[in-house]
Amino acid sequence: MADNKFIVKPAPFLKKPTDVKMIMWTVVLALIPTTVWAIYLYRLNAVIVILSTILFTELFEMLFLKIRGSKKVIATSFDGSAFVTGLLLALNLPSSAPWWLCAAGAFVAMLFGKHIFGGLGHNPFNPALIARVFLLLSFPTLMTTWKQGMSVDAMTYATPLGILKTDGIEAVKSMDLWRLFAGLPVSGVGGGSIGEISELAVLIGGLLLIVLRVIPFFIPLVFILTVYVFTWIFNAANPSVYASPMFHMVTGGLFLGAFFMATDMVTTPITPKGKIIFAFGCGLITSLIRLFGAYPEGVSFAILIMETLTPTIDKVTKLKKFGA
Amino acid sequence: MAEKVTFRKGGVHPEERKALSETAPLKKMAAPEMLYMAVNQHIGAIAKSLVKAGDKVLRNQLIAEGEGAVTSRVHSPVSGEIVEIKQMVFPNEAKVEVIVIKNDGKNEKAESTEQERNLPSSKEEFLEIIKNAGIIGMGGAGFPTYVKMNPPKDKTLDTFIINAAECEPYLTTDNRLMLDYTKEFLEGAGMILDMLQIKKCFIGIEENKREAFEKIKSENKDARIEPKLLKTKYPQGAEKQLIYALTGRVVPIRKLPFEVKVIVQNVATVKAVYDAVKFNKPLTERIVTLSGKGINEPSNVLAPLGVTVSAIADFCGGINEKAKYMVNGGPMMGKAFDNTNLPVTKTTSGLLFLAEEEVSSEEENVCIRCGRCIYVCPMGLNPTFLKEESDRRNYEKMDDVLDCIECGSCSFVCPSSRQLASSIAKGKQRYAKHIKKGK
Repeated sequence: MADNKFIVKPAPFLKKPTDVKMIMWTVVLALIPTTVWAIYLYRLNAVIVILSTILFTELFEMLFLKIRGSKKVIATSFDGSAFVTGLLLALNLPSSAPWWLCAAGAFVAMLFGKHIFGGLGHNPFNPALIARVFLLLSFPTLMTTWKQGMSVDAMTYATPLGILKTDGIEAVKSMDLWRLFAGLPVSGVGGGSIGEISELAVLIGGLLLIVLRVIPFFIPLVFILTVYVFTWIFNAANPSVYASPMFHMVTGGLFLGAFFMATDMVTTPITPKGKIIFAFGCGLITSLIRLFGAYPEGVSFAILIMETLTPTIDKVTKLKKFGA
Repeated sequence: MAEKVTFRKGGVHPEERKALSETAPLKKMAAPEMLYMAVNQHIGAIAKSLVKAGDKVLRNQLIAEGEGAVTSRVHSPVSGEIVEIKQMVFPNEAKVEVIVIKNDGKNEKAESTEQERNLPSSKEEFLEIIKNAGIIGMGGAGFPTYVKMNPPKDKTLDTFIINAAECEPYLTTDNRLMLDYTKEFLEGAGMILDMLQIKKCFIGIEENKREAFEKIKSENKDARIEPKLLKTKYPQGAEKQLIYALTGRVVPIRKLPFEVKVIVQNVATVKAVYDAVKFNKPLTERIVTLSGKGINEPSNVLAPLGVTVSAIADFCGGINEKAKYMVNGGPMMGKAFDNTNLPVTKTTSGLLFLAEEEVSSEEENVCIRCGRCIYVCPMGLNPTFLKEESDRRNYEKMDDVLDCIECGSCSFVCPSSRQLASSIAKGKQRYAKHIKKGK
């Protein structure tokens, strides 16, 4: 026994097995229903968008890790965080997005969304959202060319929220909200980003994350509820101008944003109280943009705007100490 | 089914791993040839050796004593001769004077010790006995018991809590003591209630020690004493968390339990009080759990204080080649050390010999701000923030470190394997010094 060499390190000596990798790959798992539905609707187009976005995101992750002098380029690039970013970005693109658009998005996400700040844990904004907004502003036409799912025609359509913005409430009144919720094609209506079409698919994955305690339930709840209440107030006051709250629930990227973006750990407040304030702000700004803004949809902008407030929210939300 | 209670804020569920030593019967270890008595095993004023090399000592003889209001004493566990007095570095990095005693094997005891005597007639006399017997908190803190039992005059006590949570994984000493010394333990509890004139006593036992709970329940005749089952959760044995679990009372921040009329003592301390008061037996032995895959026979040992780690390990079949870590205490709060010549002290509740696969040794990564450390902190702190400010020595922003109980729950859950607790503990020491200097 005398030849044992003992290691001295600080306590605790036990650790819960959950690590960052596990968290990230769980998020990927939770996005599978949405991904599968996107591929079901758009077939090869969706496959190309998803694969090329993830591929380029991973490549740029490796490249920038290398440039930054990482000693573990391969291990770090497969910690799941870049994969999540790539997949989320892909799900935020139209089915018709060409591969080079995906590559451009991946580049922006990894450079200006992540590595320029020092990589995972240091980025103030969700990389996938930075990329999406960059593409939306730089390539507005490509980013808003919507096809209908499950159809082979070359026709393009506006999304429900787009129709509402340009044609007014009468044009959307007859839409089947259940079909919109499930993500089934509605005649004369374009789908939207491939990951935001089925609220049902997003919800399944989102609930999985809540059950597995990867995200707290109150972020999506407060976000979605705020949009509901806000749109309900206007709808109740003037139903001939403002769409019903249920219409706002089942359209656009509300669910995808509320379950998968506003819950991003790195870029959102760390305290439970802060998360609630954040989610409320997201809901409020989303509603304001949808009802009064120039853009038909505001989820991405809302989350990015709230992310600028994250440090401030963290500073003002004090935790209650035991015994205080 | 008995009702189960627990604390509310934070907490974690580490694997219990008590099965290794849980059912091992208590083994009594005879005193070996050499014993190493640290003069300082307690919190408070440093004790000084009363003996010098060449002196003869008897069993139970006082060999070190401190001065001041908060201090303690040390007694010899054997009769023999003082060989030398030397310095040793203990796992908490403190250099401590150690009295080395050569056991003469005659086992001659000091006069009037270890014989039944009349119970003390006053609280003062009772506290004097506890002080003289060198009794300190044996759960790990090592705070002198006579001080803890004597709150300021303007505070009244109405509840005595016995901490039998034993929430640290691996450790089974309190469990063993409650099963093997049920009668003595209960009598000790009754004695403390009599002397401190407290009418209510809760024994808080986590449900993974149900056998001990049932045994105490069936043997207890004292209506004042109530064993209570606790839902297993770490760190239930932390004083403020235990008080909340058992009484619903919240100890105000940076205040002591007597603010809510409570005192808390560990199971082993209660037994030590019984031995001292009833038999005039000073604290010279304790039960130690030896566990982990690195020890050949995981055991609960009643060992004389001052036996070396290597001697007690050999008594348990020896350390095997799997052992990569030695820990003094439990795996959540214990201290790692690498010197098998260190002795067992009054606060050594466990000695763990852990294999590679039992210990998490992932590299630290960056914080992804997931907030898990905040959710599990039983004190309601922001560990990731405090770690960063501590590492930066930003004294302006780290006052909360003083409220950290160093339970390690934050490090335990951190998905990036960050050493939050140990950074904050270091920050706490530095900050305390900083404040002192400022005054």
